[in-house]
Formats: sequence, structure tokens, C-alpha cells
Amino acid sequence: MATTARDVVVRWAQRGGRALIVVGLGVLGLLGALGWESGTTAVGQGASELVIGVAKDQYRLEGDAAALGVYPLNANITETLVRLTPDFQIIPWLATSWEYVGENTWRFSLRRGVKFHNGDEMDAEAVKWSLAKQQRFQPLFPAGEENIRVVDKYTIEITTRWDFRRVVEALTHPSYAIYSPKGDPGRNPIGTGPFRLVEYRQNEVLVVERFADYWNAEEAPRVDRLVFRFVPDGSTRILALQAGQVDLIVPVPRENAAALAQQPGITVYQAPANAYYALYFATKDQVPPYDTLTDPRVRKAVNYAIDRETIVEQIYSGFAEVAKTLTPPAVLPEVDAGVEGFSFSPERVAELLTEAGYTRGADGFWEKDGEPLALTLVSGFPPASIIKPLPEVLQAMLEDQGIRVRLVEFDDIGAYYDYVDTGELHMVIESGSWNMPDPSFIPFGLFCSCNTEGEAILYQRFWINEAFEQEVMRMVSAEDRAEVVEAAVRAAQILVDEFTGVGPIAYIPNLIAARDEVQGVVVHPAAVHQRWTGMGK
Amino acid sequence: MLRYLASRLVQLGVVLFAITVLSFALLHLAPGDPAQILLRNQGALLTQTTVEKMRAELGLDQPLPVQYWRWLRGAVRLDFGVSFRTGQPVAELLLGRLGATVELAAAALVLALLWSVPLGILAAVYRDTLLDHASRLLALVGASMPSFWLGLLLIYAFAVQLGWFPVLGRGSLAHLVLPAITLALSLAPVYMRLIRANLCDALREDYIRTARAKGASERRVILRHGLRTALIPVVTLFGMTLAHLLGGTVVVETIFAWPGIGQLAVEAILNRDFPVVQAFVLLLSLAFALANLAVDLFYVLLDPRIRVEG
Repeated sequence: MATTARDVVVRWAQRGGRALIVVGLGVLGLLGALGWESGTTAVGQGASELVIGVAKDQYRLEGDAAALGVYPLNANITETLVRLTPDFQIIPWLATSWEYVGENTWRFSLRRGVKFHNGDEMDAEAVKWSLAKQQRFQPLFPAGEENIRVVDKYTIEITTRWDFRRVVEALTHPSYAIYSPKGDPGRNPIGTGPFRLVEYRQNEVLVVERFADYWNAEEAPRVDRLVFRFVPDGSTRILALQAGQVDLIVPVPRENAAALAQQPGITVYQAPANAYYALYFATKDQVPPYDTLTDPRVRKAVNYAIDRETIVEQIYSGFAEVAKTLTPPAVLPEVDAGVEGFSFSPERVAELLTEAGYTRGADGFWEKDGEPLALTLVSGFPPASIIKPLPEVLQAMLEDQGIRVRLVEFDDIGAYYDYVDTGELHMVIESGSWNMPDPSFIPFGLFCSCNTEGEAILYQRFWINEAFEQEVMRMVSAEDRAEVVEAAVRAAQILVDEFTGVGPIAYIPNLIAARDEVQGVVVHPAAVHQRWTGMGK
Repeated sequence: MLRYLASRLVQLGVVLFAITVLSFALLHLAPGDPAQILLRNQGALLTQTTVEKMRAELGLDQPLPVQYWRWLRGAVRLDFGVSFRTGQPVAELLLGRLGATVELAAAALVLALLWSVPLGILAAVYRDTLLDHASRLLALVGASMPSFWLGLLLIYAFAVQLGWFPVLGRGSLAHLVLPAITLALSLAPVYMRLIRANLCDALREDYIRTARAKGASERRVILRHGLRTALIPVVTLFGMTLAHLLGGTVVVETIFAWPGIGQLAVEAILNRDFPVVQAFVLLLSLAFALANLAVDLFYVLLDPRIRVEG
């Protein structure tokens, strides 16, 4: 037996060379021929389709978190009760009006005659089903699903457990999309949106088509189909746009935006910024040698040592703005206007550090009691490979002013958070974005202990102080918009000018790059709210 | 032969079991709590309650041996649980990607062999000539060029400038060309050098001289007598490469938006998606173990001097 088999193999091996060459040439020829053909067909297929190159596929498909086609990439399959416009205003959408009726309760009147993609009418039962799903998974306002009540077919009430007044702001978030309970948000989402799901292949493509019975004629789609292609690599996304394999790309790798804008036939569109990069200073429960920044003069000196103009121009080629706070003007203009902020000033660095007891050594670096002023800067959210070279630039700028910086970088978010929890750091560089028009959202989540329901938020290493916390709670509980704005401004003044718990660096806009034949591109500052209806070729 | 095969299969079972225990332990020892990562990715506030609830939901509140036993019990029935991140069954996730990975791996291996076998033979036969030097230089360049750079260059030249092939994605054969060439160009040099070196050695052997003395044609001497011996280490390398490629090729997959298993694995590791990582490690170990076994069996067939004991 073995001998026969061996002979076969030997014969195979002898003939293999020739056979391989013949087969291989054939395969290559075939591939080549197909390649020629694809070159002519891969480019856009008529005026009624837009192909959009997007980053990696991050949809959840199972459980209460499932949001295929809805979050984080919003294909406009579903809609929310209230909508956040590109100028950060809240407008009635699936709900036509709402009012606060007392005792922590809101009443929403629903729009009549709105059809789901399956032909059913949207009603209060569907709204309750949809909001409850998100409340079970990750509530953005403190109300259990039992606190969402159907009053009649077109009326629904929501009651929060405590005096939390930012319910309407939270309901703009696409997580609160309204679905038909007959669908499955993870496999077959049935919404009321201008587009309906046609096809989904995980990590490859999501295809939606125009919904003929869409309720809002003014917002009817300009194209028949949208094809979202998942392209994780930013350089490949750009090349696909240049080759015409996609019509537009989002997000645009920021460091390539300027070069891309120079390309003939391609336009880079920019929304007002809704995100930021900032340093957070560790001041709470820090032990030596990681307690250097408990001295506010050193925190301020770090802020004065950073040349933000140069960062915005040199790293982001103008596709960013100098930041004074964590709240870009597009989100709430009063905050940025009400804060003094920090500008680059080597003189102020020297004054503040001298005042704090530091002297400049022979090597040009600051020191106190024989110990050098050395800070540990940690980067990991977003992953270091994405935020680069910002941490290195900050390190260089601080060292220019005589402050030594040790950089610790993580590409792995789990390892990053574990490291931050050890407390062996002075500051982190992070980014944050405003996906809701609630000005308390980021301060509440990042810098408060806010034990509103008898339970503190974990890992608040960047806690500010009682006064700040009071302002944040005022933002959460104020009924009057003017009072919310006033509290937001006051909180920002404490956060930046007085306590200086952060070092705002740059405001970051959302970018879309499109081929010139694409018209009607309006970029929403918050990518999760992007509308595609006005775009066409 | 059968007894040998049986004992190898038993060994394989033991090795796989050990690997699952080890990978399970390592995963849980590594920093990063999946519950916290999930909550943070969703922008949720972390409190004792939300973290504990999420840990319970993911089954991470149980003692480690219990968690392992649950996993093992499922795994023997090919039920690898559900992904922490997407909630999908892990088997479905892996199988959904395996097709793309096998397609790319097979195409790249065939291309690599097509280039390396003829070039390797020619370089050995015409040793120290211009042809040999040129092929060595080519191999050096191929082996030194990083895939991400080469991939982008190929895209720029053949997709953007010439428009011959699509930039990205999977679908027609045309989509396969650039990623397969990128991958093959990094594999081929290794094979080429190996074939050249082995064939050079083989051609110095006594039995080659005997064959020539017998009056065998040069072509027969090289292909039948020389290459046969020279191919043995190549078979080993082939087995290992195949297993390696089945683990996915992250860089090439990312550049070409190729929906293979490598991207999935990296994403799972970064998110501490334990069930996906665990199943991936098992799949990869199985591929390596089987490739090893196949290579050993192939030796016996290819080389009569190797005998199986047992």
C-alpha cells in the first residue's frame, strides 16, 4: 500500500513543477482578465447610488445593545423622538411636542401617520418597547423601563427616579431609536427612517434603499441606495476614494486631510468641532512621586507650556481649532466664550514654577530639593497609534520649557485603564466627543463622584472639587435653559481657569471627503447623527 | 502505521487540552476587565452595580475553574459561547470569516510556490551566475519590504493609477489579486532561498554523481533526484505556513478590508472578548497540530529513508 502511495507522490512531485506552472499561468491570466473587467465596472453604478467608505464594523447584533445600521454608524434606518440638528438644536421629530408635567415626569405627543418599513403605524407601544430596550442596556437617564408608560396610542410618559432634567437631550441619542417590535434590532431593524435595510455582510458591507412611504417629504432621500463599505485602514479608504471605488469617506484620517483637500476632484467637508483632545491631571489620592500635580501652580505651568497654535497648524494642518475648554463652541458657545483658557507663555511657566519652589538647573530642567520636575504622561484612549504624534509633541513642548516628561503609551484599551487605575501617572491625554446636547454629560461622567443614587462612579481619578460638582448637578437638575448654560459656564471656569484640572489642547471637527460629483454634503458635527438624505450625484 | 497514527492523535488531544488551559489562564491573568472595557466602549458610567451586573451577564463572576469547565463542556459540543462584544455565537463569527481567510491563504501560497519553485531551481542550477544573484536580490527586497507598504504601493499603482483591480473588499477573483500578491511576495523569498540552498546541497551528493554517470539527462538528475530531496524541508515549511496563514494575516486583511479571521482575532484580543480569543486559539492550535501531523506523514511517503517506529 505504502509503496503505491509513495510512487504516486513521487510521480506527483516530478510532474508537479510543470503542472504548477501551467495551472499558475492559467490562474494569473484569469485573474488579470477579471481585473481588467473590474476596472471598468467597479466605479459608481449610476446616479441613484452612493458608495460610502466607513471605518471598521462596530455593530452589536444581539441582546438589548443590538443596533444594526443605527449605532455607531447611523444609516438613517431609524429615527428618534427628538432630533439633534447640525447646529446642535433639538427639534421635534417622531414626537411633535413634549412638556414637563411635574414630579419628574415628561409627556411626549407622538407624530401621527408615521409608517414603519413594514407598513405598521408607529405608536406609543412601539416607542415604549424601543426606549425600554435601551433603558435595560445602558440608561442615559435614570428611569427604569417600568417608568415608561403608554398613556394612549399617541402619548407616552417618562418618569425619572430623581430630579434629572436632561431627558429630552438624552432622547436625541441614536441609542433611543424607535423600532417596530416586530423586527429585530440586531438582524432585521424595522424603523421609520428614510432608508430601509437591504443587505448586511458583517465587516464588509451594509446596504440600505429609499423607503417609499417615508413620512417627511422634505427629507426624502436624493439617492435610491446607500452602500456602506467597511474599510478599517484609513490610507486604503483614501485610495479607494481616489480610485472612485467609493464616492465619499468618513472618517477622514485627520493627518491626511490637508493633502487630500489638494487633490483634484476631491473635496474635504468639515463640520464645526464637537470633540476635543485634552490632558486630564491626576490630583485625587495621588502618592509621591505621582503627586506633583496636586500643586495647582504646576498644573497651570503645564498649560502655559503648550503651544496650541503650532499643534493645530503643524499636526492637524488647520483641521482642528485651539481649545480653551472641553466644550467646543458648536456645542454651547457660551462656555468657550466664558472661559479665559491658556495661551503659550514661557514667562508664565517660569513665574509659576519659581513660585512653586522650583529652580532651573544647569541642564535647563526645573528641579526642587534635588529632584527633577518629571511628569508621567499616559496615552491610550484613543489608542496611542491613533492619537500619535500628539503625545510626543506635547512631550517635546514641555521639555522645551524644562519639564521632563516620561511617555507611557498603550494601543490596548484594557491595559490602558488598568495602568491608569494604578495611579502611577501625573496626567493622561484623552479625547471626548459630544453626541448629546446635554452640557453635563462629559463633566458628570469624567470629573464627578456624583453619587446621585447612593453610589459613586468608579475610577474617578480626575475628580475636581465640591464647587465643580455642585455646578454639574445644577446643570443636570435645572429646568430653565438659561440656568443650565450659566451652570455650564461656571463649571468650565472652575475646571479650566480656577482649579485647572485639565489642559484643553484642540477642538476636533468631524470630516467627510467626497468626490466632486457628490452634491449636498452636510457634515453633522456628531458623526452618530449624520443624515444622508440630502446627498446625491 | 495505524498504531503510529493513533498515538499521534492521542498526543494531539493532550496538546490541545493543555493549550486551552494555558490560554484560558493567560487570558484571565492579563490586565483588562472585559466588563469594564465593554461598559466604557458604550460610554456607560462605571459604578459597582453596573460593573457587577455586566460581569454576571458575561459569566465572569464565577470561579475560574467553573468558568473553564463551562467553556470546555460547550467546546466539546462545538458550542464556543457568544462574543462579549457583538453577542453573536463564536462559532458563527469564526466560520463566517474562515472562508475569506482560506481563500486568501490558498491563493497566496499557490502564487508563492509558483514564483519560488522555478526561481529556486534556476538559482541552484545556475549558481553564482547573474541569474542567481538577481534572484537573491529579488528575494532580499521581497523579504525586507513590509506588507503594509507593499500593499499600499500595489493599490496605488494597479487600482488607483491603472484601475485594473479594485482597491478593497472581497467578491470577484479580481478582488483577490492584490492581497494575494502582497502576501505571496512576503512568503516567496523564504521558499526560494530554502529550495536553492537545499538543491545546491543535494546536487553535490554522491547519488547525483552516480545518476549523471549513469547517463541520466541533466533535467532528470535535477528534477527527479535532486529536487525530491530538496523538497523535504519545503514540505515542513509549507505545513507551518499554511497553519500560520489560517490564523489570518492582520496587516494584509486590514489594508485591503479583507474580512478574514486575523482582524477578528486582533479586535477580540484588544476588547478582551474571551470567548472569541479562546476559540481562535483552539482553531489555530488545531491547524498547527494537524499541519504537523500531515507533514510527518508526508515525509514517510516522500522519503523512503524515513521509517515510522511504533
